[in-house]
Amino acid sequence: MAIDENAVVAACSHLPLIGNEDGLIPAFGLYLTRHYADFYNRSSFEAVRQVEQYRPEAILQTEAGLIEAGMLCAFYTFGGIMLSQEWEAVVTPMIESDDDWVYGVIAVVNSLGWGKWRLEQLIPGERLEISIANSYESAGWIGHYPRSQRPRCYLAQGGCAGIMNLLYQGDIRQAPALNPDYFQEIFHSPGSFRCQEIACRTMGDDMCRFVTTRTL
Amino acid sequence: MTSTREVACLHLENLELVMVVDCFGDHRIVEVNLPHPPEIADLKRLTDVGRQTILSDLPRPFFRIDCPGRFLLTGIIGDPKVRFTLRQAALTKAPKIVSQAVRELLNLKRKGAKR
Repeated sequence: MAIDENAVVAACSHLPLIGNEDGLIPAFGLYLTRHYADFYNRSSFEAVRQVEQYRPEAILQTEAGLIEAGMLCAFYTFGGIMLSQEWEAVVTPMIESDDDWVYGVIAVVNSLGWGKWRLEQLIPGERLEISIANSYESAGWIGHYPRSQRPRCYLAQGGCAGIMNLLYQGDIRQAPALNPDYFQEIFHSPGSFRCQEIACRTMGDDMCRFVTTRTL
Repeated sequence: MTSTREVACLHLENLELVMVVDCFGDHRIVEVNLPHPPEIADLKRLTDVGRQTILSDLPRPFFRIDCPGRFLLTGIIGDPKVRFTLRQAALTKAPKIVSQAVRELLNLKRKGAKR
């Protein structure tokens, strides 16, 4: 592993992620948004809780929708980051193997304030295990709701699946066009990766853990 | 959100401007292959610059120059490919604004200009 995560975070911290007069934050070749984590948290969690209360039979579909949103976010955000000049300047010089792309994108994520992501295991093309010590989704749930009976980090699940699909179901290294057709091709085809959150702080676990494997 | 890389090309004064369709459906991002790679000294020629960030310690030094009302220019020192992310107000004048900035950056004379 050749990626120096501290160096990546240090370099990214020097980039001014502030809005312009159009209300956009152009960075990493894409447009970022900056808002309170709890804005997202409350929006998604309240929707889920309403479904749990009034249409419990629809909870899996509701959660699937939130995870799908996370995968779309990962496709454009992680994909855009890995195609950006910032990536080329900061991460590319450290890359020695294909797997370093995974370490690299996690290093960039750790500069974005989404919690501390840690790569626990990578079997290239097969399996990714990530832990997050302080995911903002779990922090949001813990701050507002009682202990959960099910994992609640929907966006992070989509993010983990996104990393594997971009690298091992598609090939972001070939700089493909990030468009809806390509999203469908690599996220919704036989063998696409899906993530399962196997432990979650909202359920009383010490950290959130995510295992990403291929669908059968 | 991000840009896609579906493109349209525009040739202007010997420059190839690659218009990238972004997630708003606009051609807000314009990539240009400069006639030669920019150096740090070149960046100082740009006018009406707001915030300027140059990460010169990186193995591939990165620059990010914000010109309010016009564009954000990003690139790597020594790499001829630069990227303009235009402001909304500048979209209708994109080719003119980009070609003017490139001329400033590389100290080029306008084609056909009187000397």
